[in-house]
Amino acid sequence: KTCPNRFSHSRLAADMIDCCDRCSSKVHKMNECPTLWRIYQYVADEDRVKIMQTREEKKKLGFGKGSEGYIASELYCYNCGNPGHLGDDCDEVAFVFDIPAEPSAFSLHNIMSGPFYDPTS
Amino acid sequence: KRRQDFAPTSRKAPWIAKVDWDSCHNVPEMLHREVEAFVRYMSPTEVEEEIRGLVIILVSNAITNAFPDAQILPFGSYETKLYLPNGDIDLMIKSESMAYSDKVNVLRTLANVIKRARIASKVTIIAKAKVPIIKFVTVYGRLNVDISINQGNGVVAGDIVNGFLNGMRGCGFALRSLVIIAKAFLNQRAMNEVYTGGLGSYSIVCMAVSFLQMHPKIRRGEIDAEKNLGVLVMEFFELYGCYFNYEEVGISVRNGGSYFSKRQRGWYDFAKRNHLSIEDPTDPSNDISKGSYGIAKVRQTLAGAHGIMTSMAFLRAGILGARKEGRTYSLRGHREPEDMSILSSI
Ligand SMILES: [Zn+2]
Ligand SMILES: [Zn+2]
Repeated sequence: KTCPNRFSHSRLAADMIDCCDRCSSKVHKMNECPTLWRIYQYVADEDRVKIMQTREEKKKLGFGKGSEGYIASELYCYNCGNPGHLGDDCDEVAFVFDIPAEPSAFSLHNIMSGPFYDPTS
Repeated sequence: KRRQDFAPTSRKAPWIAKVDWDSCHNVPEMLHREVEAFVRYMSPTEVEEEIRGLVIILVSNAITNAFPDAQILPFGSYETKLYLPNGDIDLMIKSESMAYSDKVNVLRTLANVIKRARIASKVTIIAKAKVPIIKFVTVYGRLNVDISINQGNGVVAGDIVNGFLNGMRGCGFALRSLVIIAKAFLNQRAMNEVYTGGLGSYSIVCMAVSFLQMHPKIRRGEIDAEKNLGVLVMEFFELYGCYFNYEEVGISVRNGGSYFSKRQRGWYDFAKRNHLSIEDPTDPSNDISKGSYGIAKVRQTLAGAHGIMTSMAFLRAGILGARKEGRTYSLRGHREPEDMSILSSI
């Protein structure tokens, strides 16, 4: 890593081929980058507050009487079924089907992207 | 809105006639508009609703003539309007007298009633299924009708699905879109009937509800599902086609949505370990999708669709990029508009 030639032309060129220009992943090339389609239209800050408030109100209504509109907040794992983590990040059960080579929607990676991510919380 | 109002600009993808691709900035935006157009195109028109209403009245009259105590209730997709143009009509008969008679005999009598009333010329009796039914195609309207007897919770379930459709803020149209697209997709491949191992309508609805509930961006209130239809459709196919662990995980849509471990709940059956498990929203002890023995094939097909959609998305992104650099002026100009359609490719 301390090689004085690390920024040589051939080295840079090799990195460019390896890495995606959009997300610097080494798994795919830029023209096949998931960030080309996994793009969300986010709500405004105040709308998010409202969304969370109306949900809490709906929670109190009975099932079949309006609580269907409630969405819980705890995250669950699509791989082991337990709460507390998302499927991509599961290490409780071996993956039976495809092991995500790249983060899917259900990953910490996805939560950490977007305007609402707060690294301090 | 009416299907017949569309000029036949595209036979492969007639719904794209009114989609404005040119003002789209990225691929999910294009797919979002296409999904909106597709769902509007596939949703029932007034005429179709009327024809269905009439067929239900005809069938009800014929049956109550023969069984005066029978009550005929439409349920499932008729009530929630989540049916496709060629989708089945599901009817349930509630009747005390039928409950005390032999099921197969009742089904035979019903089949004769339908034939004598000239509602259908041929009636199929499926007596060995988990839920025995009679099936026929109506002479008037050429509609598929399924009739079951005394199957308690179908009607309540319709109310609950309507609750999800109306109550999930910002998600109602998204739920409708996911269900219509998943149904149209599975219907094309004959994988949407439970008695042939496919996914039933109710299972598809619950999978879509659960997907929206469990999606981290929706769960955390960061997005309105209705404004992100394109990316959500792709992620729906991604989750259930590629990653969801059918062996270990079951779905619950009650109390804001959760998953559960099939083993911990005692729902793990080694012989049927890769079957999908969905807790019945109206009866937590019942698994509504355990009859779907063909789920492995469904999963593969969904994964295939996701693969095609992503490669189409990359192709579109390339075209959009070229347009930005001024290499092509209009997406409509010298290209067939349906070349921009992603849904017609799956
Ligand atoms: Zn990338
Ligand atoms: Zn896990």
